[in-house]
Amino acid sequence: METEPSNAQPTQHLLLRRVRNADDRQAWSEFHRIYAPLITSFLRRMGLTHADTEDAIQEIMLVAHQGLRSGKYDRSRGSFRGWLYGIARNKALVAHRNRRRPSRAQAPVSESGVDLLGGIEDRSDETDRVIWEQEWRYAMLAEALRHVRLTLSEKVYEAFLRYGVHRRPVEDVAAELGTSTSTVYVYKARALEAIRRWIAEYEGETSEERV
Amino acid sequence: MSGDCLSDELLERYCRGELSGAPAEAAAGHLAGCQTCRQRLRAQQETVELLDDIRLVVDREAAQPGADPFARRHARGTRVGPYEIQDLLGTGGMARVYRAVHVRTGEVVALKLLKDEHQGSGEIRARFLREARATARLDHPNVLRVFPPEEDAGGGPFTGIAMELLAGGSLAERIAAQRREGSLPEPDRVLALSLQAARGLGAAHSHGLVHRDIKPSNLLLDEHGCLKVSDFGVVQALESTTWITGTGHQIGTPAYMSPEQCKGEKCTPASDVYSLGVTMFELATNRLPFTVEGGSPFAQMLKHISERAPDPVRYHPQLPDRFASVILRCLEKDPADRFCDGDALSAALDLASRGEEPSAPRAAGEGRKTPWQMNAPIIREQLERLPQRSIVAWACRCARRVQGFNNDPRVEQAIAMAESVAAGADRASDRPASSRILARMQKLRAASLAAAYTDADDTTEAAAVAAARAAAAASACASARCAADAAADAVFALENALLAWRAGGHSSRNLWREAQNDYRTLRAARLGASGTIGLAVPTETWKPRP
Repeated sequence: METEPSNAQPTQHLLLRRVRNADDRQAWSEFHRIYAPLITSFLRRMGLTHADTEDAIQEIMLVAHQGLRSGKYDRSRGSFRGWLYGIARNKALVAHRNRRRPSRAQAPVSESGVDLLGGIEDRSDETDRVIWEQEWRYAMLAEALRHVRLTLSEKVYEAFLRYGVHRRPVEDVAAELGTSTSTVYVYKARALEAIRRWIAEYEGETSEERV
Repeated sequence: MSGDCLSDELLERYCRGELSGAPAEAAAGHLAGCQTCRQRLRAQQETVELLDDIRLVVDREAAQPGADPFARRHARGTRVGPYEIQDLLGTGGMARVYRAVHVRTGEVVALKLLKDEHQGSGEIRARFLREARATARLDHPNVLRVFPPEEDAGGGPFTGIAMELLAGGSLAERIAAQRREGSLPEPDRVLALSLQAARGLGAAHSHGLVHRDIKPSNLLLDEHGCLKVSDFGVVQALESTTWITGTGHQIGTPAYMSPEQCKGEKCTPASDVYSLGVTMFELATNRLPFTVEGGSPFAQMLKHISERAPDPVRYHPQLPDRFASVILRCLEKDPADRFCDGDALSAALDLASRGEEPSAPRAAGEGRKTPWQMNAPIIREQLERLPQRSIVAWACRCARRVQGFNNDPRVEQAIAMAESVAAGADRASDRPASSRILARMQKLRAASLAAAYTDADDTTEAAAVAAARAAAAASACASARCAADAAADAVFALENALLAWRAGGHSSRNLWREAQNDYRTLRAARLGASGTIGLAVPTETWKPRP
């Protein structure tokens, strides 16, 4: 069901190049695995309903796919992250407009006659971008975890997860894994280091892309 | 790294505020003396953020269908009380927040649920629900709506708080984005957001609620950029970012804590005003008023108690003075010197925001309001908080600044009178003023004001004289122990000084700036019992700068 990660560290740049090749179905499924959850979370946080999100996600993936195939996405003109954001946000705005109902939140804020929100545009790009950046980071972390989990031993990963991530008492974790507390510390540090390295390499391509 | 340097694990716990009592103090003590560890602490903060993000990712995946059954109890589609869980939105220290939909009404909410490990504690649960009920009574566009707690479908109590779901993230995210881009926000925008926060806070204060943990991450935005104050009280019991003292008593987030909170004293609405002041400062300038190398909470708290906040204009030169002075007043150490609650603050911010508006022409033919007039009520309030001899000193300085134009003997006379009255009051300050003296002072004031009003017109000379007489009136009021009247007269002195200044062909903006500098100097000087008016007001004649 899951695609086997290749031996070499995959990078975004490499993945996007592979997606352009119509025959590389595996590339497309990897692309979907990484970016579809990101776009889903983004749309949900933009306030789209579950059903609207499902519809929009299909359209966005389609537009992105076509854009990559046809060469519409141009590395020299900006980052992939920014390009995908543009597509996702546009679709979300369209979905919003289609089912706009007056809500509590749209009541005027100022009673002094000055529209204090005048400076803050209707649906601020700034806010959406912050959400996008955050979701992007989560997507990168999720992907990094997937890879790191496969390269590290189960004990190392579990120590990291139980002690480092879930903040369980180190003594408990050491006892559960049948090891010492100092080893749990070492395992945690090792996994963290692997995650950092993975992200730096994957995104290293991204920053080169921006140039 | 020497032998007694802190381990990475200890540093991480320190960052998370998990240390308390002696270990926390030992760590803080070591950090104060060890630069290597301070640098490592900064790296560790980045690690803490990374781990928290990973935790969210892991929790989200666990909530997906197909994940292991243990973690799936709150997966999509599970019923919790009257709600059905949809997605995991975030994880805090003791609770998780989900997007959930009400089964009967179909309303989509943010549902905060206590983590399993805290469900057992009766005290935490009781507090959780009590706060939910208290906040549910608040209905204000700038307060995050909390739905009244409902019974479980089975009739049992259900330990969850359902809140309005907002799509715009928090101010913390906005500030983080500003920092990343290295861009300073539009002052109007900061003002609009601050005003909304102050209004929300005001609504809570008028219901007798004190938030105690105002900070950017508790100020949420909806998709239109409308701000809502969230986590009233709830947060104290629930968030891991709260600092825990040696006694295990949680009191807030060090970077935003008021001096009285830092000292372990009682929190009042003015404490929230302080925390919002820190937040406004950060939102406007991308930096905290008090920064501590290595982020030691103890050092941070010490600064809240003893260090004066810098002028935010230093870090954002386009920030209007009237807004900056509102922020600074929020950051006063003594709660009595701040705006007393959210409503008082929002009134001041409202005035500051309307400063941008062109106003009706003045009777004197002035087409636009000068900066001073826009701020007169604010500054009058600020002056009122100064020791009374400082109010007089300020008024005298205003009068002196116009004296350079014409050397009118009447001005010198009036200022001399003001000074002698105040000096007399100084000497007598240890004795209770008799009603006879008070009556005399009131008469003196009335006479000064009458003279000032008769002379006040648009000529330089008359306005300068009026300014000096108003200063004298202020002095009389101060001697009669009436700060409000003294402040009003001092404002009148400045207004006249501005008239004289303009009639002399100078930009009123310069005088405004000087007056504000005077205010700050005097406030810093804190003319207490040992200060005298003679020391505060230099006797040489002040010449206006070209």
